[in-house]
Amino acid sequence: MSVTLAIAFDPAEGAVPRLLTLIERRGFALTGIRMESGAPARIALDLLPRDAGRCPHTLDRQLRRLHGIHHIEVLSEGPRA
Amino acid sequence: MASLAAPSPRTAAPTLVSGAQALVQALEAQGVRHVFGYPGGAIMPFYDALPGAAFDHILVRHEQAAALAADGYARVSGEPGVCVATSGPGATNLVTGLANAYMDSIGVVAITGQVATPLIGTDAFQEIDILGITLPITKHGFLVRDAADIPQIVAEAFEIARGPRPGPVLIDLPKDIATALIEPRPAAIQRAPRPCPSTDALATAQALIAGARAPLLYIGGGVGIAGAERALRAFQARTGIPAVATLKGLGALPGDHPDFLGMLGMHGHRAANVAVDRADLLICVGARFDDRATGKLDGFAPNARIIHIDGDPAEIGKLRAASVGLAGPIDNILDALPGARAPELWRAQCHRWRADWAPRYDAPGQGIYAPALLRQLSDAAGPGAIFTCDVGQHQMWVAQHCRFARPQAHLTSAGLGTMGYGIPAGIGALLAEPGATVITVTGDGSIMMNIQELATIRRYRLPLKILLLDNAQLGMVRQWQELFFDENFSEVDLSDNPDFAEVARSFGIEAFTIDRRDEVPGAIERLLRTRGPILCQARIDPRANVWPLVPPNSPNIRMMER
Repeated sequence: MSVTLAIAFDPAEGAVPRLLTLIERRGFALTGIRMESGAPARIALDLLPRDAGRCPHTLDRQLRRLHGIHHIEVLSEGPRA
Repeated sequence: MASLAAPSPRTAAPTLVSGAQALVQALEAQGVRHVFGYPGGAIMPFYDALPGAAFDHILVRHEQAAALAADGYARVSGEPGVCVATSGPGATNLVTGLANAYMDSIGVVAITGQVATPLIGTDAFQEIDILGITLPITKHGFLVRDAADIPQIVAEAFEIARGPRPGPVLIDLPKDIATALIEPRPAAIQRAPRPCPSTDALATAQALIAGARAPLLYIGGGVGIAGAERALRAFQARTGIPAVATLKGLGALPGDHPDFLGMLGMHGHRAANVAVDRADLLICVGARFDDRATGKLDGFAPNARIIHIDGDPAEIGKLRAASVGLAGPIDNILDALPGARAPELWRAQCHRWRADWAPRYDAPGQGIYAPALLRQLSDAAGPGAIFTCDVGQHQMWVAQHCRFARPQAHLTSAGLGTMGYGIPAGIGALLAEPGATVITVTGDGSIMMNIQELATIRRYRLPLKILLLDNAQLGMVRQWQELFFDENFSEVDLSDNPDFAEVARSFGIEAFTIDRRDEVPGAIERLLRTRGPILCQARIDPRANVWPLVPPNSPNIRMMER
């Protein structure tokens, strides 16, 4: 199931690669990226879980731990943990 | 004629300091007492600003040891440890230590020198993208672009490193920023509110506890990280619920507590693994269902509903769905749960398992039996002692056979499994708690990973007591090759190791060797009595294995025994 995350974040140095590194490491393939600059910056990420054990809501909580994350919205519902 | 009167604040010229001086002041403002580091080109301005600092710099002999010592310091002191390295190889040498801190949720602030800003991205000498390299193993990283930001960046770095779930933070400091003269801007920190479980969730958890016939506490390292030992012990005391612990959870309940069944998992106690298998309610407190603890996940606690209490909401439901997830300060949550007395039938059964499967120390022969040695050492050292471990068979024997009165008494590389952790962690522990008896238990494989730190121990006259369990093998790998690779022993023979006692003496450290069981009591007495650093090399049977053992991809109930 495809998932889109909309994330508002502080555009500090390294913030975008940190987001992308975490997402790929936690088992999601990136299939689309759209970004708007600003304070906060906004990025929309299209993702595909690599296996059935990957839950977008767990990923949501893991991303919220990052410093400088303002808001995350899971636009396509995956199975809730 | 110049006036001798002090200038008024309105007309005073701003006090300019270099970026490096601002960094020193910012560390002082955080109450830092020790930093572990190694100088080099790009970090030289920081070292130039060090004289007169209100903290001590501990010169290690390899940057990896700086990061690991900072980790050990943080585990014992409860405050972030600080390590410093130069750019390029100095920074990359920190990586294993930062990964270690990340995996075990330990607050570390790493400061690296960087080439001057105009040279970044030009492949300059000793230039490396350490911010990029450490993205997956740090909570956050800063590349300082304006020296005036240094106080704010340092304050934020410490705040992030502290928690609620601690972890490592990197500050990369270009050389031109470190030498720039600035008027530092004051730091201001805003704390985000922490989540608290709803009263409904607490009520559901309470109902589950009240209705359970076989409840069990599954304790992880999050308890010690959160400083929630008091609340955990109070909850356990009012409910009588039996408990098991992960490697990092050891010490949250005293090791000799009658309701404590020991470590669970791959090398866990049989009583602990059987109790998990039979439990109908698992109250997971600050643990994360990691594979070493659970074995085959879908066979773990197959009959149990789960109450998952954690300081980090991202851990709730990550690997095992929870009937109730309670995210927030662990001590507050436990204090808010009245609990209910565990059924006496279940408690009595757990006590029987604990007694029936207690470790035995009557191994045949005259050779040194490592579990017995460790149990005697633990008993002799007393509850105030701190054990730091390397990684391998000896690490598991320490977890199984030593008793810890608090989580801070057991420093072990649980998540990353870093060979070479033990001695640097011992250095950090001794500096965090100078009066403590600190014992590093290492192996003949692990000690070689950071043996150069014997020089640091000698330099600062740190009274570290090192017990080297020497089987002339990479023992854990050999054990797995014996059991799971048809005895195809491949590259595990370390019989050409140097004479470790001679090596220690060449560093100026007292050392001795024992081979026989009857030498153990005297060796323990000498280790504990000696005021300065000392190494005891105990030669053990190279065929000795760690038991029990859960085979890979098996449920914990399928334990292999000798």
